[in-house]
Amino acid sequence: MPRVISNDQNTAAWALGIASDSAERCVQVLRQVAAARNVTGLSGRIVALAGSSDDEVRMWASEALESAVVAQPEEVADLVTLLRESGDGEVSYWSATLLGRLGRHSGDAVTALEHCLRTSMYLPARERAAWALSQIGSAAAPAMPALRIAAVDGPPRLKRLAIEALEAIRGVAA
Amino acid sequence: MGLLKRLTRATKKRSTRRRGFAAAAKQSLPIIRWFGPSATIAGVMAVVGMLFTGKIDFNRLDGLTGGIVGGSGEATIQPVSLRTLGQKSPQTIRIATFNIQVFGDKKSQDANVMQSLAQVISQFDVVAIQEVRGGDSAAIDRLVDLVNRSGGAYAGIISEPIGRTSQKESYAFVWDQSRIMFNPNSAYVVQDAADRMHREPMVASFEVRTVASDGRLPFSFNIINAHTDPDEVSATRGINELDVLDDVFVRVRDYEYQTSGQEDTLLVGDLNVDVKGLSELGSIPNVVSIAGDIKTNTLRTKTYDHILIDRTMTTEYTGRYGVLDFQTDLGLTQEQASRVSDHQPVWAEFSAFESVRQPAIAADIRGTEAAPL
Repeated sequence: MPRVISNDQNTAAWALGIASDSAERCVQVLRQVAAARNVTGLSGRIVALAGSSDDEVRMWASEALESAVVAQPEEVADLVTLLRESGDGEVSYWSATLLGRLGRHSGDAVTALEHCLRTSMYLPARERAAWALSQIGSAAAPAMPALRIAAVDGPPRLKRLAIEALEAIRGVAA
Repeated sequence: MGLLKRLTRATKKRSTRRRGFAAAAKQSLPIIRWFGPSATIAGVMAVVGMLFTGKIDFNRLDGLTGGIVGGSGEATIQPVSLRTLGQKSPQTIRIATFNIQVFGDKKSQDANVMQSLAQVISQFDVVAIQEVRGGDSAAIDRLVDLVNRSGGAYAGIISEPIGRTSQKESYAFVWDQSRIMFNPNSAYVVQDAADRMHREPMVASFEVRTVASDGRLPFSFNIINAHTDPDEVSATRGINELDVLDDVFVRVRDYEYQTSGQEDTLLVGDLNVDVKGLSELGSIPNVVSIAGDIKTNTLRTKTYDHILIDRTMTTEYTGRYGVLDFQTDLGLTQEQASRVSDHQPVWAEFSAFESVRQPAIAADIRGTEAAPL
């Protein structure tokens, strides 16, 4: 299970709540997280909940991730693990999104993002992986071969994002 | 400036628009029968969904105005006083945008939340809603039903679920039928073949339900209802939906003007940026965000929600606008307010009548934030 990386009291309480077996309790906490702003330290745990079997949990986890959760550089390893090991498209999507938000701090995630870009069955996750690589910039150079393929063979949006990533990696102004 | 490939829907004509408004009441009965006796929003949504997928002729919806009355048949939530916050004027209307965070089945069964929402919605004549969840119209249906059991006469329409991931959202419009007519031939979702937006906006047209006064016709207008993706609104990150929404605004405005003579187009919604972040959308000549940098989230710390108009065209704007602080106005705690939404409604006031176009336009139409409703 992803670690909780925060000493904040709210975070500690929320971490307990979202670890609960009760979907209702979990939703209650996720709503609190979504109502807050700049919540740190819970990225991995909430990304994992984006793949919950409970509809309401999944919905509120996505809401919290979209509007409130801010990943920290210390969480890159957990997000990479989720990206590599989860077979759930939404989990991959949000892992890639949070890694992309971290930009150059996600240098250690390049291999996992490249793998997601090449192999994920979930197009939104592949798109977010391409976007995340563009945010990482020059450190994402090892992913250029996969990006070149996506830039040629991908669906329109993925193509566009792959081209933008290649330009960002090469240092070309957008 | 990127361009959307094209807008959907092909058959609307100027004459159809006006005829649709005028004849709505007369034509409604057969359509209601066709839907069945309940004539719920769910039925309408299904039909609108068919429209989007090309499975039905738009012209068959001419008579829907009388049939889009909310009514889930559920009556478990007690009615509330709808006049808590103020009265409506016959001379003006209020248009609002409201992101009702994750408004789905569960939230719409929370009596306290729904009673607050009913009181909020009833302050406005038209409300553009974002973040309807669950893939059906149950939440909007229950909201309209509660408002109407509380003495209102509202109706609603909802889009198909929209979004790239499995977490899709619908847009909705609700309006006070005693004061506003929805053009039943007007709702569509902007087509985005190049997939430049996570949630393509929904468009609908309305007209104030009043008689012409001093030769001035009732105010009619289009609303583009939009909800951007927060990860796709930053100019520094390569992809920016605000650089697509300007095309949407211009295309919809031009399309509506060319096909129906409609001059007034508003773009409203949760744009996830303040006025400085509007990028190309904020650079369309004469288009301004009415509420500008006013804080719109429930915590009053961020600006996310906007009402944009072309100040040279929509001179019906009276200069009054605001954010409805429902936490204060309804006497809620922060916890109670946050259960309603993390956003507050942004609203603007417009004349109920079309204005006579003036050659000289005021340099600043921002107006003033109004006192609480």
